[in-house]
Amino acid sequence: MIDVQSKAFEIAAAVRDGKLSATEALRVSLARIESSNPALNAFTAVTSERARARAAAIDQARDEGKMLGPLAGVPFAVKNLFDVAGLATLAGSKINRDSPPAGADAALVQRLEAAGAILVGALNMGEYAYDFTGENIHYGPSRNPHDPTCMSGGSSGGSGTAVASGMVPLALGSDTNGSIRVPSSLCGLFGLKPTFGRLSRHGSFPFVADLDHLGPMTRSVTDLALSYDAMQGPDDMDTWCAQKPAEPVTAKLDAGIDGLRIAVADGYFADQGDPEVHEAVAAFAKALKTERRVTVPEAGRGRAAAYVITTVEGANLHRERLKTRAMDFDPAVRDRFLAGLMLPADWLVQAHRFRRWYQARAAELFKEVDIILAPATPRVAPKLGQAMMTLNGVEMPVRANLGLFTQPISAIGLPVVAAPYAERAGKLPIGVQIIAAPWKEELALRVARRLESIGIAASKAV
Amino acid sequence: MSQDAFDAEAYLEAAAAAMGLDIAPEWKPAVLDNLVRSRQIAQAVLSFPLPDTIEPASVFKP
Repeated sequence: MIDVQSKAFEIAAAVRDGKLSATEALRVSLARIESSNPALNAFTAVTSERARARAAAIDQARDEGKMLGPLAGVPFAVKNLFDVAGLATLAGSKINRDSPPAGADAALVQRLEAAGAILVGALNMGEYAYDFTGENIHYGPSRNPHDPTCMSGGSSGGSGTAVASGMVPLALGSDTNGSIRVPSSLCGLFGLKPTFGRLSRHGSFPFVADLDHLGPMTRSVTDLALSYDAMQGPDDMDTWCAQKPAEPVTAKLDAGIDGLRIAVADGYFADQGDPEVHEAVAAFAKALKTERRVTVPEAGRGRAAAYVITTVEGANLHRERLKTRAMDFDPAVRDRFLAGLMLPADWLVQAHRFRRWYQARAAELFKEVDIILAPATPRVAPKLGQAMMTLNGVEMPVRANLGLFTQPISAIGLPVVAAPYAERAGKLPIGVQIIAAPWKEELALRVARRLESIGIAASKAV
Repeated sequence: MSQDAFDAEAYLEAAAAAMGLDIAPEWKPAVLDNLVRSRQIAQAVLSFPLPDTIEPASVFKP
């Protein structure tokens, strides 16, 4: 009764209604992992033993008439920078193999399991999350299920691969500069990067404390909302996690979009990128009946500020490893960190000051509009190993530039839903960012839900 | 110092020495590329005038 196309909400409803056992839902997921993972390389660890015990416990609870959670029996997996009890938290690196196994699960893993979900494993990722490609020199690339010769996008590449291939209906990723939204776009998924500080990062391996966000990737908006609701709430163990009560969105998803002021980002977001990327944005705008345009002031400088903060703070995090184990890094990551380590302190402070200015301009913008639409990536998935790409006649490195549309948004922590454009028959997927004001995830999700309900945004496992 | 006068290699040697970083000769070209690119990107932020009242975005709440 379920298959690889099944959404998390469908599995959970069937398990709660007694039409499907959690054990059977898990069997379908593990079978798909066994058949597809060798070719696609999404998982670095499969926690089948623990998952079977968990599924049996859920089935027993149901037999005893106990209430089951909103994600009962839903298999999920996490980027391998999330702590999983008993596993070393790799964060895509070779070096962290030598770390002691995590003593407990990450906060968000605990929260999803408390809602009934079942962890089935840890997912491949770009080394230390400094990546937009999904390639990994130590573990091999996570491949794009839509074309395994293409990139999944990064750095949450394994998360994109696992959900887009139907191995799991739900995966968690992290997003410092675009690492949820880029693989969501390239793999044709829905992804949520919530407001900075909304979801606890406790028990995840950091990259850039000022910019790190965690969030879900799925094949439906309802699944984004269900998992997001299960993960919300303050956590004193994450310094930056907001002291805000949970603001559940699932029940409000179909509230519609009447009265919402929706605009397409022009300037920086319209002037670069392949035409098909802008066709997707235009199709979303048309479906939402808006012709409004807005300019995000100084978005390019916002991206530059995020770049400086990332390279300096990320390098600082790895300073000792760069001194003692430089040979064990992916050279592409090491060489950027080494440069980052040497940048003047003045540049970092100025980048943070610029970010404050830029944040205030964005706040003014959100007095005029509620939602901003922008492309998620400047192009569809490049080929694996492709170092350069040409955008608007200019040749540029793939690795640094796949995030050129995502980076200016996460720089100031705005919530975003990445939504896949449905009308891509025979072509690789492409996604659009639905951006809202801080703490307004609900609005972005409602717009995504509208687009999904009229069929203009859609995701399918391949 | 103007953009053109930036001697990335001299900067790298001095900064690496100050920080006690060993940069293998074979890594140096890529590190230099990144240094030059980072400097170019940072100019977008550094060239933008900000009022004195704009504080850094990181906030510490004791």
